[in-house]
Amino acid sequence: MQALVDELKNLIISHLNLEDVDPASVDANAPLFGEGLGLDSVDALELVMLMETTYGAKIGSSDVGKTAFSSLSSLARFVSENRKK
Amino acid sequence: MSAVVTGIGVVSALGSGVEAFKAAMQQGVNACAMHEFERMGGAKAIAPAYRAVAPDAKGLIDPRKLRRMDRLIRMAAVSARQALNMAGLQPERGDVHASRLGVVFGTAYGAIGTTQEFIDSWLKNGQRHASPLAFMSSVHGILASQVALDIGATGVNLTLSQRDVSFEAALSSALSQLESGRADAILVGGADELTGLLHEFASHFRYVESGPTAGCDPWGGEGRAIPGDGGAVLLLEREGGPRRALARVEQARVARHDTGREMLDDLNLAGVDLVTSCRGGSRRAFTLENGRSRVLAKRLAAPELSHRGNFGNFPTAGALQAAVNVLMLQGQVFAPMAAGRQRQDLVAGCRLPRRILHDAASVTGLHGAYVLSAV
Amino acid sequence: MPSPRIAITGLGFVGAVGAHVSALEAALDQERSGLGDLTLFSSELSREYPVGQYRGDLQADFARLVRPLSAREAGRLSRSDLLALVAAAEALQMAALPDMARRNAGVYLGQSVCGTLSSENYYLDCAAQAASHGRASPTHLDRLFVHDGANSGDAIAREFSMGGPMASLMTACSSGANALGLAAARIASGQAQVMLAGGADSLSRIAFLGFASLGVMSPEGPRPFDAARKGMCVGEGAGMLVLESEAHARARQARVLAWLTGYGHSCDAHHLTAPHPEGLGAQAAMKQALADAGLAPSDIGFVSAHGTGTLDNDKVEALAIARVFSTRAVPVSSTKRYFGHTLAASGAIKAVLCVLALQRRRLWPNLGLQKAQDDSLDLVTQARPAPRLQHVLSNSFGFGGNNAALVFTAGDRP
Repeated sequence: MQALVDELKNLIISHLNLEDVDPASVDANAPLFGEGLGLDSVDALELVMLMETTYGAKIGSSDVGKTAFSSLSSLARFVSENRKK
Repeated sequence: MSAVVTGIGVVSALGSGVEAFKAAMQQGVNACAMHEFERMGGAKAIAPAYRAVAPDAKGLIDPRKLRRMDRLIRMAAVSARQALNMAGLQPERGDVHASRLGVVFGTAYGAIGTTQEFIDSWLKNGQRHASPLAFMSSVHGILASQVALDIGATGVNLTLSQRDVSFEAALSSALSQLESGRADAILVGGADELTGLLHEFASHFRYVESGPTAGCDPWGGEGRAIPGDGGAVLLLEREGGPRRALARVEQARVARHDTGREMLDDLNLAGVDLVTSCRGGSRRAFTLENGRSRVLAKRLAAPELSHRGNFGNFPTAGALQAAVNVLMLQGQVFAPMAAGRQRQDLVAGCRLPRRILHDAASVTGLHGAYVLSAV
Repeated sequence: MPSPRIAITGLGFVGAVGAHVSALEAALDQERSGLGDLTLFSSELSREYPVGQYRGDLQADFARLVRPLSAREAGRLSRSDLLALVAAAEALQMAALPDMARRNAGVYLGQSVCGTLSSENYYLDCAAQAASHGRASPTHLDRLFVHDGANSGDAIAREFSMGGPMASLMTACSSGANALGLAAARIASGQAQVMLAGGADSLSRIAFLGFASLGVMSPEGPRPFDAARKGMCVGEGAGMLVLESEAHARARQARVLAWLTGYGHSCDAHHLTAPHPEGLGAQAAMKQALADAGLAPSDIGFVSAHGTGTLDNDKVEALAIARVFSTRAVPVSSTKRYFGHTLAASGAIKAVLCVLALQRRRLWPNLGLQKAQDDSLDLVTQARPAPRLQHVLSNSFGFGGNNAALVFTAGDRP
């Protein structure tokens, strides 16, 4: 699971252009939105698209999305349970 | 009501920031270099261009905002910050109320690179997975929006597109907004980026040359227009405010020039002692540019200069020319470059200008003009 | 200080419900939506979202109104240019300007899609060629000529020999309204006596797939201000108005269809797509427009809302309207369900609509409403006469929190 967390961390940092963020400093249990990485609603849309195209993991509803996106760890859990790639 | 320029920002092939830009202009730095351009289909072409440097945004723009800014937006946003810093205007301090601070930008092609990225995203991932981030960042209005978002300006916010008089159109609009009292200070800018697609288009239709060359030559009849990119911003305020005025902006107009009306008839040209134009050395524009020079010479006993040999021939090079014009009114004349060398002969005997007419008659049929004067 | 009132002497329209102002008026009276299947280009999503596509033949329309275009000329015009030209032709004919007035007039247009329907075609062809042959040949590079934002205004100015001030406003969905407000300001400044102003946008893959990617499109058409609304639908069209100074209109005894009396404009500086949650910028724009017209909120007899049908816009716009006008104090209607969200054209098409409302003294319903999202607005559910209608206000809000509000006042009675 740690490998997937790291993979997701790097994917998000590069895709969302978070060039000032040091991957080592990102806490896997910290929130992704608002606090923590400080992502917003458009980043959320972009991440939904990214999870589907990279892993085939579809986020079916906003409730599922809320849980999945609550932290890197929960995202990794979601992806490993729902990935098709 | 007179409007004055109180700050300037520039991101260009000659450097980022007015000091670097000015030094390079004085020294006759040749910023023309061979660059790689990607052609549609993936082939690469090597061609000369005046490609703007990547501006150092550290300390100027919050990294969280910077991540949403592509190359074009960075040029615009950094130039805007530079202009505010030069003037010493701090929006956060309330020097001008946010609702009275405006942003007006001109761009011919907008965020065309990001537009391509958006199309690529659905070509790669399918139409159901197009990138919302790319779409959002590709709309033309992104220039003025992003600058306003960065500095917190809630006043006038406009992005205009008028081909190679886009900056002149922005200036005209900004001036009238100040005159009508809709704003107290306006960041007026122009920026365009040179992508592989635009380069392919411009060289295919001979707007620019793509063979090896020493540099852009606005007077080279055989065609020596070399493209480039960059951005510049002027901070415009009403005269009489607390910040030091660098130059006065008097009139700015944009119209078509092939309708029988002569724009110079609408302008007050008394005392104009220097003319700048959009002369760029393009084969397509040469006849028009020469014709226009004759018209100007008949009307005004003033030398005509163009500095596109210094920073490149691209639609919003007019913004960089405006920055040069304000600097010239500060007390120096920059020799234009042509084919990589300074044309000192064109400025020998030029007195320090007190009143500059900028006359941009474009081969695309549009015409922009404005008058600047020394304070 | 209020600005001088500007006379409106010509109107032009093209959109999903047809060509010409008469088609717009008929659709409003018949409460008919022009939304339907996307057939302009193919897309895997075309069955999922209706669009406001113009079903007529623009070149034939132009030929009928003005003259046939040669193949070469048509090759240099995008669909947005044609929409703009047809609406411009109608407006200019209605205004019946003397030659000299037309030659001195300028053109201010709001645009966002511009020629991308043509240029994206080029890009997609190249991508397809590269995928199958490993390289692309630039045989249709000239499609890029029409890409930029100045093309429509330029085409109009050339066709009708107009030499006055020119500008193309690219502020997304508020472009058309900004073009009108700024053109009026040019006249007020004395730099022009007559201006043609409006907005035009065609459908394109970028616009369609772009809004789809943001998750804001509705499969059932927009239901502005409805509790169960699911989003917007894109549309295409053009709205054009001929504006004149009062002195100029009176001197030539032109019939003043209505007056453009106020313009307000602001920026949220909040987020690239989402509006400020309390609609502060929208409120500021509306208040500025009222002040510019020298009017109080109670003078306004109708608000033409931006009302796209998205969750965000309608919630915030209702809040903003209620704050400026007080709760339920003024009838409000959004017309997005008649022809979709026509992007840069919407502010201008709504302007045409406002003039019609003032002329006919009639309010048309907010189509698509079943149960209002809240009680804050007096939404027009049935068409009704408005015998004392004197002033109306129209909102247009664009991406990046670009807010524009216009006030229109009744013109000469026949």
